[in-house]
Amino acid sequence: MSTFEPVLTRNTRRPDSEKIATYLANGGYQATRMALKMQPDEIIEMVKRSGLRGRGGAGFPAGVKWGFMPKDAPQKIVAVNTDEGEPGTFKDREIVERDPHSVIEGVIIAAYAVGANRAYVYIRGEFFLGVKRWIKAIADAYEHGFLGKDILGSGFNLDMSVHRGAGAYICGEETAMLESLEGKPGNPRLKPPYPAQTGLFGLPTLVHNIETLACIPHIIERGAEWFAGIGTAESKGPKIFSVSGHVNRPGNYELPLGVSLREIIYEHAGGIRNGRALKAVIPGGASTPMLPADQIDVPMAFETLKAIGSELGTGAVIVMDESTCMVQAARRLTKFFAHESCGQCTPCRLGSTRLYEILDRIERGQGKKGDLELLLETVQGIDGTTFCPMGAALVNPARSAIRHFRDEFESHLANKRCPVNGR
Amino acid sequence: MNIAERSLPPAIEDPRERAMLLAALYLAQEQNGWLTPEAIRRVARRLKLSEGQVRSTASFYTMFRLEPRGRYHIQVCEGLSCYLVDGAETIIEHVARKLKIRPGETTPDGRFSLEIVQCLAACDMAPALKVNDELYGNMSLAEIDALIERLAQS
Amino acid sequence: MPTINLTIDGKKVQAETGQTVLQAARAAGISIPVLCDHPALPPEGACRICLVEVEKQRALQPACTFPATEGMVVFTRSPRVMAARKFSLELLVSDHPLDCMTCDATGNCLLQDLAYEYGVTGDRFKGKQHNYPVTDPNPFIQVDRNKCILCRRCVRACQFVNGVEAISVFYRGFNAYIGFGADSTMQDSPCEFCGSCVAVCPTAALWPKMSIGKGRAWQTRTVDTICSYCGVGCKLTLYVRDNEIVRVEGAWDGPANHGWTCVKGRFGYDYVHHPDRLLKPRVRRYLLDGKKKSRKGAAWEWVETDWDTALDITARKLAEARQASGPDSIGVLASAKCLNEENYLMNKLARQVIGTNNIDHCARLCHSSTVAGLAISFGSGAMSNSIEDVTEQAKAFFVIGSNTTEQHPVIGMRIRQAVRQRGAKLIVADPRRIDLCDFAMLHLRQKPGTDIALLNGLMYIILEKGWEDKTFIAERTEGFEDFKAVVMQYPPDRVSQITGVPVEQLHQAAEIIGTTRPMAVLWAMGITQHTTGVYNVMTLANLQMLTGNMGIPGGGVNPLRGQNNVQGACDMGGLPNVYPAYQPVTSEEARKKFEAAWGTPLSPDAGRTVTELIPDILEGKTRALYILGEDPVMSDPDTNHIRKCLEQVDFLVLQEIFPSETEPYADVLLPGVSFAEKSGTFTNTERRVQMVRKAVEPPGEARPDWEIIRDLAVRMLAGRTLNPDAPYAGWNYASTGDIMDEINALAPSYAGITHERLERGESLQWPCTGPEHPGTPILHTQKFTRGLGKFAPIEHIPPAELPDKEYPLVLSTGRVLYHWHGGQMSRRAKGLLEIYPQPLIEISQEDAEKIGLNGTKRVRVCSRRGSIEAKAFVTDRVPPGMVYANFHFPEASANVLTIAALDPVSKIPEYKVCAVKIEPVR
Repeated sequence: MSTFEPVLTRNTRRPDSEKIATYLANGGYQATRMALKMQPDEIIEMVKRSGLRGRGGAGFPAGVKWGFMPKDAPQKIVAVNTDEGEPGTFKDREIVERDPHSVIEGVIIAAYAVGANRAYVYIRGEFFLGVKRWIKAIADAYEHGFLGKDILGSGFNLDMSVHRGAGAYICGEETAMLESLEGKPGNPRLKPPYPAQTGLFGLPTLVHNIETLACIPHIIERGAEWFAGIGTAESKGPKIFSVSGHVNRPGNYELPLGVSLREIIYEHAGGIRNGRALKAVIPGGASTPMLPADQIDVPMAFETLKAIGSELGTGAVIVMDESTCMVQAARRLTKFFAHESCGQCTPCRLGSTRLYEILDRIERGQGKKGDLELLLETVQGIDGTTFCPMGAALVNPARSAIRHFRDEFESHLANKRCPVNGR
Repeated sequence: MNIAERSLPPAIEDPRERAMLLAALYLAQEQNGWLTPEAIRRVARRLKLSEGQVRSTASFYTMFRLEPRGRYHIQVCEGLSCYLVDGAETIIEHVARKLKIRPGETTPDGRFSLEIVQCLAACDMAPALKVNDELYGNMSLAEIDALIERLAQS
Repeated sequence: MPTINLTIDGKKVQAETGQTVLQAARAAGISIPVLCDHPALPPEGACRICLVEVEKQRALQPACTFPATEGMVVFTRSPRVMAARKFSLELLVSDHPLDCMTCDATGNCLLQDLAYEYGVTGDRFKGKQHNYPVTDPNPFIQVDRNKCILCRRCVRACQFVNGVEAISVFYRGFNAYIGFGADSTMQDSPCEFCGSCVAVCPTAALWPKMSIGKGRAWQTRTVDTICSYCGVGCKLTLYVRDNEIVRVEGAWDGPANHGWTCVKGRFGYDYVHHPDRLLKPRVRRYLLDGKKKSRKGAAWEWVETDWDTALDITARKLAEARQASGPDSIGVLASAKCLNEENYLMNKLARQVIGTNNIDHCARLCHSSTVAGLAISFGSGAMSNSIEDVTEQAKAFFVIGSNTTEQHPVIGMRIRQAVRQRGAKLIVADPRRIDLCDFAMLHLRQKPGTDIALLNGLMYIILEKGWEDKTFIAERTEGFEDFKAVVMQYPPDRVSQITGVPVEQLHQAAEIIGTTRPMAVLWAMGITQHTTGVYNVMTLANLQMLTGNMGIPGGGVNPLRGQNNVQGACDMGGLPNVYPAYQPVTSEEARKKFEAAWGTPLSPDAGRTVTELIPDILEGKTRALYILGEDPVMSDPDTNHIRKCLEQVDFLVLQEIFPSETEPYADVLLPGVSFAEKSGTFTNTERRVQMVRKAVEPPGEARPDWEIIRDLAVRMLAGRTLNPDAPYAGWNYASTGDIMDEINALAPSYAGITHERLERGESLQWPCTGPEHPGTPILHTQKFTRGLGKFAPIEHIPPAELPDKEYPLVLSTGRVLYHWHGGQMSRRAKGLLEIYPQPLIEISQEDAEKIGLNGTKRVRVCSRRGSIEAKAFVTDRVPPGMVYANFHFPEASANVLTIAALDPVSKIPEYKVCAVKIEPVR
């Protein structure tokens, strides 16, 4: 097993890791001190050079995003997306609950770089403990002069507050999150304008996933080159992989991008439970296309997963062994998306439910001739026609399951029962 | 029509005021365990919003309840990871049988209610469930039984 | 606008920067289907029916929101596009009832049209279907959520057009649905039933209840006309089937309303077909028997008769009165509900045929003080600006004494749009907390009858701060110093004491009014219906001159006229002191002109007003009345006294469509017709003359009013010799167009307003002085009618009857959204009556408690003149010490209580202030 010195999770396993005293005792807020002595543009350049890409799923280059923020706007905002709702993903929860200060540092530095004086942290409603710890962490940061007026004598001001989500996966989509922050239903907004032009309360807003921001203090402290030295050609830095399903040691594993899926499953997560054989893996959370067992040598990086028709997503690895019915897996994931559709656009609102209904009847042995074709037609109809990226995401379980396990669907249809578990 | 009871949305809206809506709804929900019509009215009045704005927002989010629920609201995850480790339906059916209610229902004494929820971001602790705001991971059926017994006594 | 070039379906197309692909395509005649997009609403991009393929874009893009850019290549009907549209349609139809056989929207349903075009049957996806109950109990709009496609057009209409945001989407995803208020019924929500949601609904999810089963699109024909309720002048499209109006829509090209209407305009039309309509002329039996007038027994019974008999009797009786007591013993009341052409004929009948200037109408009761006041200040008295420029361009609105959202709802909507969509500042000054206050930055709650003090106080601060427009004052006005001397007597402390408005609010309001330009003043009865009505208006004129807001778009003095054609009735000479187009009867030049035109000598003396003509009956000065479409028993102050007077009149002819409250006093009843049964013109509050078109045949033997007036005049003129050279002596009109030709010749401001031009689609506001003249959207742009604007020094004068020990409260009166004036029309509109079935007296919580009134009980209101009993509506809409009542219901009309104290100049009664006491009805 290769060893990798944890960066993002270096604090999270300590006792009382969420407390500011623990954080400070382990070198916390040094990056903030360094950054506030730099020129904002220097920081943006540094982040660009680091090759950091967004960890929320889309993988957009962070430095480029910072560069989109208008220089002359009098009021700007940083919004932190911690609405971790992608099934299989629980990396944010660890940071939220156990290392809030590293993210606060990341936010301070980002806000300073783009000239924002207000930051909002949107935390998934279910993370009740995380919300409580963040409220405390922000209060402590104010007390120590890391937030508020004239931070560390730099003349830079930043206010921060926590907003608790209330149960809506779609609020992980950045504009839906902004709507939710504004106290509205989380319906995604029309783009353009992008948040960097018109974001929260109509102000230019930099939106980042929490893990992305957690990388920032380390880039400042150790340098862009250090960060860019980790990973692959197009995917730089450390990454937390959430591993769940049929493995012996489910959990979060921080590893360099580019690590193979095989290594994650068999070395870090302890291999498949009960000595069973691997059947399929979802590499990046529920919305990423699943891979069959023979593709697990793929390096976990944006470009390599894309090349084989999947995505890095949030890096949430869901492992399924030979006892898993793939129709059932697709059905279950699709039910999730149907439940989470905001209902704004037709293909997602109705299409997600119809997709689920077809999978459901196939799974229950009530499928009809032509249902497989209808499934593919529905996938085709939803993909690329919806208001927001949810449409492209919600068809992936069904589409990838059919792509790799078509015979299981056909068997369900022909024999009216499951070829895997006999039910 | 009751002209006096009309509650109009604010024309000159302070967006920061509306931004407090979700937090206000959480506070209101704590009072009775659910958002009563009166609670909705009071939140609307306090934030100078219309009742429609408040209720439509509340209804969008699964964590706000527009109907009464049990004192202990058991939320069982049916996500893929929980299913894979024999959670989800197995647990849901078990709890339903034990409490003699179906998902979405409340026990006659108002103590327990059962709900199926989507992924709780606790897949490392699958199978997982929540009781009110408290998360319980790696739950065997025996542990669930013990938990319910404990809550029934409290 | 710079132009960009793009290619759509292989066709080279040009578009303006900022246009969407949909707009560019439409301009090029390429049709792209839509469901959620609507030209009058902001785009949503949600239904995904307008998806198109754009080169270099991975995903299909919605044409309704995707911006057109230079060099873009778009395909609107590629196989991929067609498949995507068909897919979304299959989904929509899969959760939609397939009841097109019985659905009212069939033939008028976007979903149905698209399903037809794309061959969608709904068979592709069999699955869960919603089954919502169709139960919303409101009288106007059927809510069938099963037919809803969640396009959210209604949500946007309610948010952006009306502004009350009564409609929201509840829950999400597949379970999302449209709901009202706090997810209850429409009636329990802030809904005002303007029906904008119905107007934009692409299916039958929202459908007018009154129209259900009354005919599909292809079974009806449409007639464009003008609404018969208020003075906004909304253009309506009537859908007619088998001589019945079955549905009403706002016309999208209506200049005043852009397709929107209020509840009365859209749902209040069924009075036209009410069984109470007068179908045959009636005369009292004593007239047929040739006996002396008796108001008792069989002699006073109505007898239906034929037109010849009725008109002969009328002509004979009027001629007798003229013979016996002189022309000035006859009074003629024109009608603000009737056509311009008809009012012109009433003016001609009074002046030429009878020989008196005793002609007046209900403008006396609403805006006579405006006409008089503005005439003094500026030289002419009408709304100076247009609805369009005021609502689209004013940066601030000062609404004083106008309950705009209830009385001129579509203007009220457009003000709310201005506030909400472009951040216009709104100040409301009103003793009542009217609905518009919810949209105002500031609500000044002055005591009733203290408007002059309030306005002087605001102008004091403006002058003190130097916010006045010195250039405008120097170049365009006179009398400034005298005016200033009086205003400087109104420092904030004193004004606060008189008006009850806190000093701080005076400063806030003065700053907005003094520093925001353009700023429009809007007013209505709250300003005019006072014994100081003329002075109130002149004070507002002072304000707009002081701030330089005259003659510019978005500014001006904007009196909102009440009746659909009250502006026109005034314009047509329905006033005792002026011929058509405000040519004074006391001007020799004007008199000569009309004597030459009509071929007979005319009276040189101004006539009497309606507020004099009726009380004068008791003194024998008024012997006979000819009333066209007015109901003085309901509309004039001090009802008991009016009744007493009308009992004494020798002869009363009433030309009406219903047996009104005045009917019991009439000797002859002539059945006229409603707006839907005749053609001609109305002039709205902004001086816009618009075509009214016949949609249905009159019921029974009812006849268009202009025909009745004509035939009566012809009878009365029989045997009289008029100058044969006079071009307009005769009454040989075959149509209202013939009458308009005569108006064009004699009323200079209407000279260019012909039926031909209006029918060609021209939209003309007077003055329009010739066939080429484009009309005048804004008055006083270069100079005032009188030359320089006249500042007038005006002091505060208290109302005529103030509260005292015995009558400790102030009564103010007015209307409500759901009814119209005396209620003859609106109480015969089923839905309007259902939603507002009885009079309500607004009382503050404090006063209700003081008299021991529990919220639901009935209350008795007494003044020195009478008393009424009605249900109390305990509310903070009125301040303590004030009650508010309407005059829509004869069983408890506010006018039983009101005082006939008149403004000395305009003779308008003080409807807005009198002293009353209240007690619970045990």
